[in-house]
Amino acid sequence: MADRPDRVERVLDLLMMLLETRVALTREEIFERLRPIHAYPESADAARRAFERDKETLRDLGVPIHTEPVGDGSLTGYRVKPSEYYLPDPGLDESETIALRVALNAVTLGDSAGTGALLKLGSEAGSIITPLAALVDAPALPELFEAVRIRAVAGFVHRGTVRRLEPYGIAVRRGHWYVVGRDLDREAMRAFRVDRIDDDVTVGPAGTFERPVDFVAGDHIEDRAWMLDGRFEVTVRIRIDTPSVPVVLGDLGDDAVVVEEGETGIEVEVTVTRPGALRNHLLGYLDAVEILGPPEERDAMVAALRVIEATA
Amino acid sequence: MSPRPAAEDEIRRILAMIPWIIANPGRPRSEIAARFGLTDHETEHALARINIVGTPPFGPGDYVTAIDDGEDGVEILLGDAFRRPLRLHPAEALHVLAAGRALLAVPGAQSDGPLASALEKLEQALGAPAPDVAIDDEVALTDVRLAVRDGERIEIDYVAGDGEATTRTVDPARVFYRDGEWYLAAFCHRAGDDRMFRVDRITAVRATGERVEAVDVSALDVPFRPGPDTERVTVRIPTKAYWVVESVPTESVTDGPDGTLDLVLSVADGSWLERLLLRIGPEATVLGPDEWIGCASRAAARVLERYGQG
Repeated sequence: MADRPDRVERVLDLLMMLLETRVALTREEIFERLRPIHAYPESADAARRAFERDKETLRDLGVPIHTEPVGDGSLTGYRVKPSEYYLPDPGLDESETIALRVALNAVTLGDSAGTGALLKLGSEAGSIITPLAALVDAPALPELFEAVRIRAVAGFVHRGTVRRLEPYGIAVRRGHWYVVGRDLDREAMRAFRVDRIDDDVTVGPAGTFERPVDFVAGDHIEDRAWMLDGRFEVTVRIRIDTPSVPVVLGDLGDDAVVVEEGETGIEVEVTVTRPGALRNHLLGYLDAVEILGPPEERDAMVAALRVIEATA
Repeated sequence: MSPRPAAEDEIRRILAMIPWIIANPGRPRSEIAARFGLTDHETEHALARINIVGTPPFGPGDYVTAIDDGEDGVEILLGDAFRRPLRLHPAEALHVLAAGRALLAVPGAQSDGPLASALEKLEQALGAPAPDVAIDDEVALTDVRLAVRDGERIEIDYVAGDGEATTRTVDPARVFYRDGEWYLAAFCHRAGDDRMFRVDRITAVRATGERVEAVDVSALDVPFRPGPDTERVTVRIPTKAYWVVESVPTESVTDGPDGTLDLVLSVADGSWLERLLLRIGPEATVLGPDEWIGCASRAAARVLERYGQG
């Protein structure tokens, strides 16, 4: 064993030592103890860099490395608490393990295969069915999820604005991830699309708020811009040509009421809080839909079209 | 050379192998290989690695020992520190809970089976509420899924994005959900080629009673891949219309003058571009090719005709 161990071995040795120690060890103590196997380079600088890299690797793997001041407080000690390291046994039976395996094969999340979680939970690797559903990934997701789990305030930048949120849950609606919780600056429930959050999420101290009982994240998400909080309500009557009916009705949601059905199309009424957003959305159907009333909404649509027509 | 990802993968794998072998002593190496998706050689290598892991002072009794006894299988001694798997990384926990919830949300899923109870146990063990995943149902979904399962040719009424309604005979290959939409991948007899259909745009499904062989649509990508016959159109948009970059596939995004953005879009269908341009508004400008310049204005004029303002 005189050969210097390679990185994989060195990281495993380091991890085993940090797991077994009862007191936090300083960097120098770690180097000293691993000296018999020549784990770290002799040069102090190179050793320090290698150690930083190993720590980073362990953290990337999800190993909770605990740091605390040691001695007179001027040095940092490191250890891994077994209670934090080990996966609590969820007590899954065989059919449940198989069900999870099916789920992880059937549903992909970005490029990640979910194999790591499967192996830890005692299932086999390898695919058994073709994927049924693909959920998009977003870089900020794992940290937001961890903030939900440990009940910590998450700080992030959403479309250029700094937000501080007590995250109560995360949800998927219409293919988009949302984080939902209490916005500390606006003192109100807010939902944010995770793909519009920069990936630098800061996670505050754990356990600083209580999650409301029976909280359902999806109840607080509105992805139809014309239904967001607005100052007033207006009921818009829209004519939709037959071929486009299923798609338009699907987009408008359950709030649209069919008031007239004819050979070539239908008429619906929908009450909205942001008519401008509805107008913008309806422009995307070109001449397959028409705003019939009220007159001011119809006029606003004509005016918007005139401005675009004039761009040529 | 960046050895980090490879080293990480190997460490992750070894940390998963040790607890499993400790919990299941005496299994042949081939079984371990199969379970962890490794070749025999890789398994041997991993076991050799495990033998080098030790604790100070690194005396003879301080090393984890993996013994491969051939017939008698593999055993690990002195590996107590790794007897339980590493907790799930937040990304892993999220993935397993999200996948489970998504599958339960698929219309027709059994909501009180082993998957539901597994998720409950995991939520408990991880101390995390599972994500709330909703997957939309579509009128035609059940019918097309059954057709795929039974390998049956079907006739569908379909409304394309530009409102054109057609009836097509298709050999269904696969139904799947991606980014908020259900898709049917099928061989379309009308087009004489593989096609991707959005299930929410299928307005009717009729059985034909004809069986079809397994359909291979692996050449299809989802939901849109620029082909050789698509046009590359350059559009200048104001920065406030940045949502466009997030919601449509762009070939390139570069900064234009005065805080504008120049996007190169792959356009297979002119009405798609018209719809996009009308939604962005008057500040969107097509820079070229020539025949596309002014297409938003022409589209607006057409819609104005509908309002009796032509």
